[in-house]
Amino acid sequence: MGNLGKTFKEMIQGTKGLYVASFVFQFLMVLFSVFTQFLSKVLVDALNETLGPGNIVDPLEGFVVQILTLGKGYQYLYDNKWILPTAVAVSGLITAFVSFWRFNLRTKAGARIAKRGRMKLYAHLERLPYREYRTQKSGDLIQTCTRDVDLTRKFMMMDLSQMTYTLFTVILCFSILFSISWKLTLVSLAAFPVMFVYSFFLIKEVRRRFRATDDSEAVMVDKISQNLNGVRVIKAYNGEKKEIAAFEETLKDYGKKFAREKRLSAFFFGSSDIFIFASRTVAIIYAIYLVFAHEITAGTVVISYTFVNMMVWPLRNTATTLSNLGQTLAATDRIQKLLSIELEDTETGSRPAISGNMVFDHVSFAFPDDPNTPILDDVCFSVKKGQTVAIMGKTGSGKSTLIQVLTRLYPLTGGKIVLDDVDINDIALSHLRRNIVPVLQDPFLFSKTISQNIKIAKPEATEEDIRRAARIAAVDGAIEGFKEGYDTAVGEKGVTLSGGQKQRVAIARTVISGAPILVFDDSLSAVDTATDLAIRSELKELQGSSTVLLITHRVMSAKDADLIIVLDHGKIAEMGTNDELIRNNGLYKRIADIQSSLG
Amino acid sequence: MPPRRIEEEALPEKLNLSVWFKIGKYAMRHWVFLLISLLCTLFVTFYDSSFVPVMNAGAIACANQIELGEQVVSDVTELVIPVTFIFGIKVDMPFAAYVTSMGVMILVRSVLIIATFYATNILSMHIMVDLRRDTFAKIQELSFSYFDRNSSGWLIARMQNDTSSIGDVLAWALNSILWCVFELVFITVTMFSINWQYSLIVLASMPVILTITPIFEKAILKANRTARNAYSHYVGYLAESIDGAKTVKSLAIEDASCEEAEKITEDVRTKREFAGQLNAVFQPVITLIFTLMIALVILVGFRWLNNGRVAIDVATIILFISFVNGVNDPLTSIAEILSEFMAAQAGAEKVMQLLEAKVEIADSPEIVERYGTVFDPKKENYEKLEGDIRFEDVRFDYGNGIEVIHPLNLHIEKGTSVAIVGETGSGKTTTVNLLCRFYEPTGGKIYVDGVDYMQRSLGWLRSNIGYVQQTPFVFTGTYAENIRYGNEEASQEDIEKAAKIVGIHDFIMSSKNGYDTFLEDGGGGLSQGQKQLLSFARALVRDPAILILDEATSSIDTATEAEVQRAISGLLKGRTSIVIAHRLSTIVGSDRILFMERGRIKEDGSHKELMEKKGAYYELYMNQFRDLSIGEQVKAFEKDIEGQNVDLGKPLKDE
Repeated sequence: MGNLGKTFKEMIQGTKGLYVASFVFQFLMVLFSVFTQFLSKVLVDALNETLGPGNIVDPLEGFVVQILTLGKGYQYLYDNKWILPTAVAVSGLITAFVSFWRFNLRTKAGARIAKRGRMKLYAHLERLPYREYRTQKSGDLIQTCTRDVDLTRKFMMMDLSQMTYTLFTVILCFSILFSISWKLTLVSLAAFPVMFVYSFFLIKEVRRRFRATDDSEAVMVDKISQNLNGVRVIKAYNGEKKEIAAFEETLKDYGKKFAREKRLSAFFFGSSDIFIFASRTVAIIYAIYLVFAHEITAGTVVISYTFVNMMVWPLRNTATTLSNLGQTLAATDRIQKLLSIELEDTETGSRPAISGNMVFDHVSFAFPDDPNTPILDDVCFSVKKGQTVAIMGKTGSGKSTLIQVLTRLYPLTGGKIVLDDVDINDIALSHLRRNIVPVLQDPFLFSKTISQNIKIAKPEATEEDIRRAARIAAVDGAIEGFKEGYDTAVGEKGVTLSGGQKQRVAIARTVISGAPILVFDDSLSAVDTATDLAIRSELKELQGSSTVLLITHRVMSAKDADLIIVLDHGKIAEMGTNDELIRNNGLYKRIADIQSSLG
Repeated sequence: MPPRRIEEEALPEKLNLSVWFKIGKYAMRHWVFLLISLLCTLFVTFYDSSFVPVMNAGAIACANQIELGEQVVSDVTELVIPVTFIFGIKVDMPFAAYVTSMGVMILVRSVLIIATFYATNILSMHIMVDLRRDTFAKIQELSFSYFDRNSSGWLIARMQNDTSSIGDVLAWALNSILWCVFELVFITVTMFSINWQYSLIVLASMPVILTITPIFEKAILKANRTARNAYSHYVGYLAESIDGAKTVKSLAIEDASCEEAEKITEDVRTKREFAGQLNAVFQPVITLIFTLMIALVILVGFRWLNNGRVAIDVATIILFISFVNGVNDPLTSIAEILSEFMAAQAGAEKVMQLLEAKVEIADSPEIVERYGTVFDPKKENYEKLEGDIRFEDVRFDYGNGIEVIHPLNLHIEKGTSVAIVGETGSGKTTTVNLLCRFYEPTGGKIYVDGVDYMQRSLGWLRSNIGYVQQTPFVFTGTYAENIRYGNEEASQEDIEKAAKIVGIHDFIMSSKNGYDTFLEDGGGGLSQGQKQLLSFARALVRDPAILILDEATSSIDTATEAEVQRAISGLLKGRTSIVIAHRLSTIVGSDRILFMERGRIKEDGSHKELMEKKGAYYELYMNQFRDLSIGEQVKAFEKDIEGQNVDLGKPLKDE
């Protein structure tokens, strides 16, 4: 419950006025529809001329007559019966007006509340520390940001509105009817508490069966998607017949569970209808008796039926609404759980000008869940502005981690990294990441156009900038080969780029950022050697302006670097220029020998 | 399960009757339920729109008579309630009869509502289940080219969402239409049998409702669709933000992406609001028309009440007030139901398209007669397959006019191991697909054991091929079931033997229930390598004459590679085999290596021959080393290169 309240408060921010107003109009709406119905009692009693003294006194009716005749009394109404249809029309007009505003305010408030919830979650999601993405399932995250938000909105707008509607209606109808004849009211609604309890328990069982049906359908859908994903294997192994038989099983199971659920829910609807229809009927039959006993007028017979009818339907729905609550509570629990994950503070810290000088000072790192296995162990080196550093090493030697600690995706466990005399821990994260831009090993492109993808980190880039970046990344030829050139969409609705093309677009995206430190994390692996060469010679142009960190397996790519670092089990095994390392006659030399002999 | 992305869809301009007619046949198969729902609805609507109003009117009339002193009785049971039923049948009901008939009718109605509700639900379920069954069977028949054109996501959407919305619309909308029509008929007949002049007045608003409602309904439907599309855009964006989280962080574009999310959610908000506003206008307009009609009915009632030209009483006025809503409600509902049909139509069309899709690869009737279909094979007529394969002038294009296999001539003798290498797009996989008859050549012929394979059945061919693809596929089921998929007749020993040969037996035995361990979710807990070993066992238990490994080793990590390598050599023994591999270490031992380039065989020979030739294969082989990580390079180098007598000048030392 606490989480529901908290989510409620968060989502309603900025919409409070609209929200409250929508309930005010809800009340007015109920008031006027009850009033319109009440007019039919006045109508009958006016036609039968049973409003005057000597008849049964109904103070409320008398009051309404006073209003309708502007204080002139029942006799005036007898003489001017046109007042009644006019009152109906006017009341209808007001009801329409109120109903419009109720609807309008409700949609507005609902749409705003949902938007607020979505944005709140999205903004939070976007600033989660990177490690969270490794532990959370993306399906769950999406579910929380979509379905759970909608469930909460539905509760806030529909369910609460439904409950207040019921509440207002019952209060009004009940008190009016009670004031006219308490006997009639109590007798006609006598069965209702029973129905309430009855439905509440029956719905629970219906829901339980519904979940079973739902699970069975999930199995069926799963079978379909498995079949489609395994279509090659199934065809190659003549599995078609077996598949159909297996699917038939899931269909049967579903059919059985579905029927089981519907038998009960049909019974529920049918049987609770008895209460509703019985209440109405009891109301009208008892009303005849009360007229006979001279306790009420004929007009009351009319509203006894309509008022009871107005009350019983929403009352029945309340049981259903209440049983929805469990779902909403679970949804808000998930929302609050996501919101309670602490965010990365990307803004606190200094924002010094970063030119590209970099010092790794006894840097160590181990993953928090495995503190005894150092991934980086006492790594020391320094790079001057504009230099290129190549980092080589086996898989698992810590190359990629070096980049991750540099951009503070993970915090260091020892030592420090200094950029132009400032410890990276003192630099605002957003500033740091804007200045150190990597091309990831497996780059992700967004489903936008190629040009939008390239300028994603620099929205103000001109057409000229984009073309230049594409040229440096040696992807300009490929892009121009597409029918729509730079405006070609990528992904589901556009072209599918090859691994190498993706890497090169990502390189262009990095190059255009103009960041003082560029990182290439094995990002030329899917590119053939000739293109690799072309890209590197273009990148040389950038030298002097940007410091480049190059993670690579190819000696050819590394050998022109100002500094080559060979990592082994998180330690620096060798470090120096190409010439120095060749003279050193270590691992680097052996690789160089192998690779050069391969031509 | 993450919510599936909702496709963006346009709305149809008009009702496509031919599609609905075809779909309607699915409903007709279960005519019993239709009939039940029809008969029950008939009674229930009679109760709601004719019986209850006239009974209430009777009560009011009786109350009036008491009040005006027209009925004077000493006990309430002596009261007589005047009721005018449909067709003007006037009955003066004693109080007891009135109470009893009301009670009985409520009970009957209840029972019938249960029946209608149940029958309609079951009908909707049956339609959905039938459609899913048929589409599923269709999917089993369709050839690969169909799956190339239609993504599995698209097909799942058809089979999951569309079938269920068709079931709902067909069953419920049909029921609602019946309901509305019956209501209209009962009310109109009841009304006219009481007072025809008054009835005409009630019907006066009908043209207005009939004009306004469809216009609004269409606009609302359209606005809702637009809002839904905007929402699915948001869901797509969200999914992408999560998938691309690392990129977003490393480029520090959180702000920009939040801004974009702001725009997208704002778009959803405005479109939702717009759709809501249309509703906000529509509902009150309808209410207003109703109340104005009621006012008119009252006004006219007064005049007739006074001058006596048309015989009515107070109860009649109240009764006709209730008829105003009674007539107009079903009219607005019908428009709503029609728009439901419109909304579901696109889905119905696509499902029919799927059901009517042409099966491109199928056996000819003569072949089916001799060998049966895949669903009903006549295995006794299958000839033994030896494994001699011949491609004769085989050409192929994927139907887009671009030929990807140029006249290909190839003879693979029984028992030979052949490896195919070449760059992506060189035609390796296509060649294998043609051999499996996943596709058929667009020119030339393929002979298996000297017979054109079109002269044999698909079942015959495929039951003799063991096929392992790049991404291992594990069915949700037990280990034993997964292996037995290769050969239904395999005994437990056969299965264990296969598992032992590929080297996964020990691993399987180490799990809790051994071979009966249930693998959830497509073997989610297994490593890629373990899954692949399982597919090897599946291929092996089939004891196929021809074995095909299509990049079967490329998704395996180096740790398990050695194991897989051993498994493969166990697999290939004594069979005709075709291996496509990226990792060349896998194929060094093959009898023959084919180097393919742009749909042609460029080099053909053993590893040694091709290395000596120093041609394209040599280049490719050498190039591989550059992309290996450093540790691998040294190892692979020592293992392979030295054996190939490539002189480096000096020997390498151990690390």
